[in-house]
Amino acid sequence: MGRRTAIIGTGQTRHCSKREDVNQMELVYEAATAALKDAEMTVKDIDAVVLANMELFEGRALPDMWCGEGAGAFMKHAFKISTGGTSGTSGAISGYYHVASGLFNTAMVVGFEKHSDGNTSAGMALTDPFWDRHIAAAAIGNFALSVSEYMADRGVTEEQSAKVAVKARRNACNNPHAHLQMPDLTVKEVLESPMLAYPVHRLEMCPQSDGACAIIYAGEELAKKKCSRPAWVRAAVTRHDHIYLGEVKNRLSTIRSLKEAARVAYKMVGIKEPLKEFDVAEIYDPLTYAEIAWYEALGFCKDREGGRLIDDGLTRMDGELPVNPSGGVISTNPVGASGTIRVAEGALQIHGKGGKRQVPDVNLVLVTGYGVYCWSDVMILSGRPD
Amino acid sequence: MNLRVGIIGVSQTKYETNKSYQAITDTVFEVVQEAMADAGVSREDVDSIVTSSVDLWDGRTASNQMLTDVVGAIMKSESRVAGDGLGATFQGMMTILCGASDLTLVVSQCRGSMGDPYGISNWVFDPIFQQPLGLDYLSAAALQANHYMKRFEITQEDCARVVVKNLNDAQNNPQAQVAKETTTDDVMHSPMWAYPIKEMDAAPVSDGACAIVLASQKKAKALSKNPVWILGAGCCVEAHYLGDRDLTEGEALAKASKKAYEMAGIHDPVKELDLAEVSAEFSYQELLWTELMGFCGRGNGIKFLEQGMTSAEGALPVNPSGGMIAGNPVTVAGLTRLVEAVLQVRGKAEARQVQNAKMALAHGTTGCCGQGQYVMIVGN
Amino acid sequence: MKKDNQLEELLRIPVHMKLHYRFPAGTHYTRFFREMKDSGKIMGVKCTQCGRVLVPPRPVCGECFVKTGDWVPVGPKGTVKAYTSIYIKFIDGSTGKPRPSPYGSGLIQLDGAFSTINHILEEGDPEKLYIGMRVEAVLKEKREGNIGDILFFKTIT
Repeated sequence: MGRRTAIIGTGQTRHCSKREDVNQMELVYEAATAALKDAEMTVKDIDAVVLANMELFEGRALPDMWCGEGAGAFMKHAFKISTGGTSGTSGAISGYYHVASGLFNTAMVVGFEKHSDGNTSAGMALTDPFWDRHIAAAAIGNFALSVSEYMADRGVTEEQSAKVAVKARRNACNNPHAHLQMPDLTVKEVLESPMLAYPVHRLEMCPQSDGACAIIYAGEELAKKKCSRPAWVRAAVTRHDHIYLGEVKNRLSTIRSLKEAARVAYKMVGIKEPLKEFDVAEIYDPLTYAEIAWYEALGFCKDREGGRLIDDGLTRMDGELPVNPSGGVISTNPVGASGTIRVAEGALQIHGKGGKRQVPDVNLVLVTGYGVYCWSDVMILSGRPD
Repeated sequence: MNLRVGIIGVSQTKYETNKSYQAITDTVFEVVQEAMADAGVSREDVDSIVTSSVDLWDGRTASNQMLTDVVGAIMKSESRVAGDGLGATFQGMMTILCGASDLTLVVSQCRGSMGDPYGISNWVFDPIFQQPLGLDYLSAAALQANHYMKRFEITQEDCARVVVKNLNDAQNNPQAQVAKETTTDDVMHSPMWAYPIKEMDAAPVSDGACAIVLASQKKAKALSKNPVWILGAGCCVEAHYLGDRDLTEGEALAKASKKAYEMAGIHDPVKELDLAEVSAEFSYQELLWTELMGFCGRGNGIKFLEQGMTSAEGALPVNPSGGMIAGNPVTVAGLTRLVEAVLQVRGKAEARQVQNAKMALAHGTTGCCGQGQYVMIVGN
Repeated sequence: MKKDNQLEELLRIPVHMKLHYRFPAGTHYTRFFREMKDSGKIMGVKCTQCGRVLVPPRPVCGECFVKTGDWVPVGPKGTVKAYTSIYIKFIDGSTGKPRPSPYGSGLIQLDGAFSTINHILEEGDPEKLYIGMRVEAVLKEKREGNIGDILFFKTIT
């Protein structure tokens, strides 16, 4: 393996549906300066910059050219990673490569999306021009199709799904950056919210947010010097799968790419019982049903038991494995940043800077990224370098 | 670098005005298979894949999606650099150096013919100050060209000589899109596009793809008798607003090349490099870039060319392939330069082979007027 | 963040995007759309290695990383493998306009095919939709050679 590398600083913007007070570059700047402040560094200390976003949502080509300056990329090594929903985690993995390769001592990754600047549903509709573009109902339609398969296959209920929404929006209240904070949300309200695509209700789906998130990596020597408790990268794995929705049966149940990425990452770190061994998980939940499906795919429980995990409260803040103390993607979703936020929130827990969302004594954290069922990223962060 | 990354397989398509007779997936599958065959590896051997493409040029969102099957990425690691192919090579190189992969496939594709390349380049400029002015790569480059030419008293005929060299040399390159006996008169009489840039000063619109196979030092030695090594690499991005830059300077390129030279232990690029493949979308850029990479003094790019130093038989041949003037598949360009550099170092560049080529420079650029710059040194 | 009244004073600069593309369909989509237009047949392509019949047809089987082989007719009848009913307005990428909602959408496994395809269902009531229901493709009278030539899938018994 490459040299030991850790996250030593994180920074986020206030995420909400419209950040009209800043442009895209200024949004990036807000996250980048917050991360520099957190790491007690200046822009001069950063050797390389990786940006991550979904460029077509804002109708940009090469947005790193404009927005890079907001991340301090001026006169530095910089490029942009863009892999759909996983952009934010793939960018984070690229930032890790920059430092672990030994080529750079530090690297900053900034994931960002400013949905309100563009037309996200048009951007989502611009899929395969011959096929999907005419008939697909973008992400929500695809999700809903998969949910029908998943419910039939694994017997998960609407109430269990709604409980995920309640957990997420309550957790979000402890996160000053979160977009949707709903302290009093009930299962009934979730199920009475407008139907988007049967059986998915509005409150079971992620929002569209404006926001950016930055993380700073450093090599071993510097990490130990600059940070009292660095979040060491112990595994970073990506797997891709077929893009045609119809080429894999039961996308949510099978999610081959996530299962395989997790298997490889667990092996690297020696994880055998993820529910017991991880202290926190920040997983990319585009909708409530996916969070339950990921419990099964990530081995937190056996197949068909994901719903029970939610019923028993095992993934609540006070449960055996708190999942998404931040409120997750269903509370905050600036797509290009959503993956980076998972990594930052994971690192934050190890840094002990989680504030009201801090889980006690965090050592081992699982982070995942997700893109349209085809792409999965898995990272494992730890308070210990090995 | 303690450990080197080897390039053990390369492939490129012919660059054409229009490849619409083929789906993008067909084109990419072809180059991927050829690069793997060149490396003597199969899909099972490949640990990870890095692609480069840009959504707006592909006219679809998350456009690397369409390539998953044909780059062999099913249940493997794939990432995409949304920019020049040489940027994807950087990502691939780091994937290997950090130990995450032993064998990485880097693939870049673009279809200039599919949309409106200059229209799309307008969307690179910030949407508040520059984009509404209608700036695109051509009009912005014309600003840079005038400034550079005025400062160093370069004439349009001087720039035309770059085109003459490249299009004549391109006749030795079977992959070239534009290759013909050319005179400065031909260039001077071609239609004016954006003063002082004329049609023939500009790279054509092209379709094409490239693939390379990168390997860890150990794997490269095991798999290849004559791997080509990445000896140095530098990347740098400068200011975005054109008004923030002195367009006749190019600090990003100067810094990127300096870093690559340092890594490769190069003190005198003219003496130590055997050739350079340079991404110049417009004729004046080849002169400007060669100066900024330290091949000659500032303003001497044209003298360097007139002395024959950059000709195929010169002290430091620049673009024996014909460069971008002979074919410009937009975001693939930097990877094309790298493939050409590798072929030269291998001694397999056929009619365009530079004698005894042992060390070569490949240059890529992204954004407008060379805002982002990549330099890679390869050698055996 | 600024206060609301300060936000009101800030400019919003509208930029409109109008770009035109010509997507090359390649051999496989071309043949698929031609067959559907000319003879009303829906065709899949069989992988020479794993034998899966893939719809939409494509030049390479990603699973096996080999060129696909023979063409085989599939459907027009098929089975619903997943379904939903779309309630919110979505932009139809081909027209740029929102599609009337709610409408049924399904993953349909055409008889003889391995993969399912995503398409519109005649039945839009989620209470009447179920996994395993049988459907049949309804084609346009005047076909144009694109995926819109399949209007929707009607329910059969």
